[in-house]
Amino acid sequence: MKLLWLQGASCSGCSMNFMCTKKPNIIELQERYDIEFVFHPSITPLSGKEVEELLQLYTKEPIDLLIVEGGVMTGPDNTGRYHHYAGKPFMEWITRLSETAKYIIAVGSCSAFGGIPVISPNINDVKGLQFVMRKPGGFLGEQYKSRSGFPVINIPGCPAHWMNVITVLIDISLGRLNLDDLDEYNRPEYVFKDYLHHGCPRNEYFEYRQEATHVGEEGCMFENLGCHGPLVKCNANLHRWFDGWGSCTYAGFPCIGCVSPGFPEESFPLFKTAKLAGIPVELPEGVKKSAYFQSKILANRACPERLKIKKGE
Amino acid sequence: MKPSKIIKIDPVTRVEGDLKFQAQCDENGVVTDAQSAGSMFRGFERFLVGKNPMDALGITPRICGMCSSAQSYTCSNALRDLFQVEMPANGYHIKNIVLGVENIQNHFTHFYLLFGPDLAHSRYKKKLGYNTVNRRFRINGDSYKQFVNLRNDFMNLMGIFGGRWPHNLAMQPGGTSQILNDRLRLNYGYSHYLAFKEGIESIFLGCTIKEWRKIDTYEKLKIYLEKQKNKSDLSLFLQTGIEFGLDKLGKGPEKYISSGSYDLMDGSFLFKPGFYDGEFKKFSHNQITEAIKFSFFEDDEKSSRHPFQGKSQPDNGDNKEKYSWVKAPRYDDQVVETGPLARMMVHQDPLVIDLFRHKGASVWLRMFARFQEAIRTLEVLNDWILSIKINAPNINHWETVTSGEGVGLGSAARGILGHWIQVEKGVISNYQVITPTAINASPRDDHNRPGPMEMAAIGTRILDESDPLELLHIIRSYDPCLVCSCHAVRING
Repeated sequence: MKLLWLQGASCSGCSMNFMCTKKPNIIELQERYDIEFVFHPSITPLSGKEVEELLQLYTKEPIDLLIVEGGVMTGPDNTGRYHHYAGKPFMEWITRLSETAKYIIAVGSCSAFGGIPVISPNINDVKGLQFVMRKPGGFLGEQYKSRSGFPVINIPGCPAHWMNVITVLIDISLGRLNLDDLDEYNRPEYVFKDYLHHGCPRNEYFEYRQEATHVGEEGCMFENLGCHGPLVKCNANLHRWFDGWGSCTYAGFPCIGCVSPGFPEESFPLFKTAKLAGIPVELPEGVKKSAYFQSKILANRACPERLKIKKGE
Repeated sequence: MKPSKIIKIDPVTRVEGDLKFQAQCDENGVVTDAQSAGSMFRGFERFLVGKNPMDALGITPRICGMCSSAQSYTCSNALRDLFQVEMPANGYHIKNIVLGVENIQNHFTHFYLLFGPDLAHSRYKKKLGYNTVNRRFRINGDSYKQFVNLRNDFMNLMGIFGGRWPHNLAMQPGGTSQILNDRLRLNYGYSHYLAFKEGIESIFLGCTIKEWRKIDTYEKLKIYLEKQKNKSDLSLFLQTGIEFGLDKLGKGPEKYISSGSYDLMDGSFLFKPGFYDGEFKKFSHNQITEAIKFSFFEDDEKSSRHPFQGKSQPDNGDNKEKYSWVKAPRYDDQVVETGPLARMMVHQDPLVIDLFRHKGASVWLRMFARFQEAIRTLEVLNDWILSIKINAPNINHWETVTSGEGVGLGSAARGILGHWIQVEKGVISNYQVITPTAINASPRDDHNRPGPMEMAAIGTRILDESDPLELLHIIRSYDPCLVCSCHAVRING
């Protein structure tokens, strides 16, 4: 399978993380899974004119896999002048390659949903490929399907975790990705099924409502420090980063919801939980406010001594 | 006689972000003019206006996926200055470890993945050492493969100390967020460090870091090269680099700045700040100004400003003189270079200084200084990891402020990084970032003086205009990172 990787309004962070992949590493991925990088800005040898010619070629010939990292800049006034690449506005390449691509994968929250550059007032008119935040449409339109009949497959995250990208590449190369594997945001559901809260090392504090008030303290970060762990579907605590050594809450900082379609706009202010009458405004999906409140009172009462956070130290 | 010709490279790849490079050659193929252009504009600083000061910690790392931790480090420094909070010793150590791992990784990744493969270009086929270079440095070559595995294990340190990479929030104004009372994690961090160090010693240096650090003159380096016989990747690069002519290529301005890198608790730095223009002088961030005459921003009555007074609005594209989304930062009204070569120069690393005196600046020396910095950082990483005190605090708490200013300086792999924050009524009223590539890849300034990379290209003889390898060597020797540079706009709000 021929793979073409382009970067739109991106920071290259998804590529940088992708290059950390292990078993397969970037070389083994090509050797073991019949995936050929015909172009990646940091991996392949081509430069200048050669890149333009290659892109030109694939606007006529089919390309098996198109990965887009970063949003599509359409500004100012739908000219795409804010982002030029290989001789033309970047957005024109996407329009033309979207007609020849068998599969398109949006790697990272920016190409999936707009992400960072979409932060209001979105001066560059950046769009995700088929969404702008939660709103379907995006640059290619809600009805867009690639030649395989799939919409753009979204693998959000800021950056997208390489494991989540690789697993989808393996699926496609083995021919076992199905349309009904995708959820309402066109994410592979099996990857984005569980909440970050699953596998959080601070779960015991959540159970007994022992809440941290400052970053760097023991305790759950949900009620004061704006942690999105119970609100966002992310497998980073189940599969973690770097051979299991890291994740956001493992390193002691709150989740800011970087895989969420609403990221980052819906996450502000960071490190702060919006509350009403002492209860977080946003509660885990399906939990009623009164029930949450009552269960937390009981939980707090049941808290064993060894877990209690001593205040005022 | 051949007519003069324009060489266009769009995009320049194996650099980060979108760079367009154009050179004009005379009839002999010598570059007479060069234009380095950032071809993307993201407008980062604009997002920050009106947000809580702490939101900057989540947004600014996303300026750049390569130097994300450097952005965090610098942003947390600006916030520390704003909140006036002290950091405990562990905070310094852990922040320096995370930044160090990122920088070391960046430097070696640059060599093995981005720069090295060019040395396996068929043009060098007849040169001495080519076969070895081709076998080891080409894409998916022996050393390339070995390094990919080494790097990916080393990055586990990012998991242990930073949680994730890029874009972690472990670096906070008052210290770091980890609760490292888990000695097991700390010990495994050390163990990963040792494994990487040994790997670098064996494939890259061909000797221990301790032995390497005794080499502090050109003469001693020659003895090392003699002994190595191209066995280690470093010696292979240094030997064949001279053979291929990299030591005669891409001199640049030979003026250097560094804001100092790796803050130490006593207020000093691991690598000293300074300015070199033939003499070693003090560095002050107030001497930085940015020009926009050749950048796609609306002209201003005052063409050069300190970033804090920076005023810029994307122009309408009518002015054909303008060619880049990068502004043109200058220091003390001079064209200066930043990056590992600059840092090693102003820190007066004896070996780099001796090589500079003997051979002058070049692609070869710029690459070498990058290795020297990486090795020196790798050496002290050992002490930082062992200095972390179990059960001592990693962080101090701070109170937020409703108004004030903060300056943070830091050091990304590619050079100096500066964050300036102003807060009014509890929210950010102005945020400015100066990145290293904005300095190195900058366009002309208001005196029409070319930027450092342009300067390094001018005067170079291009052998084959359809395959301008010399230009790619020069550009890549700066390790440009355009995603960082083309963020800079502020619309007064």
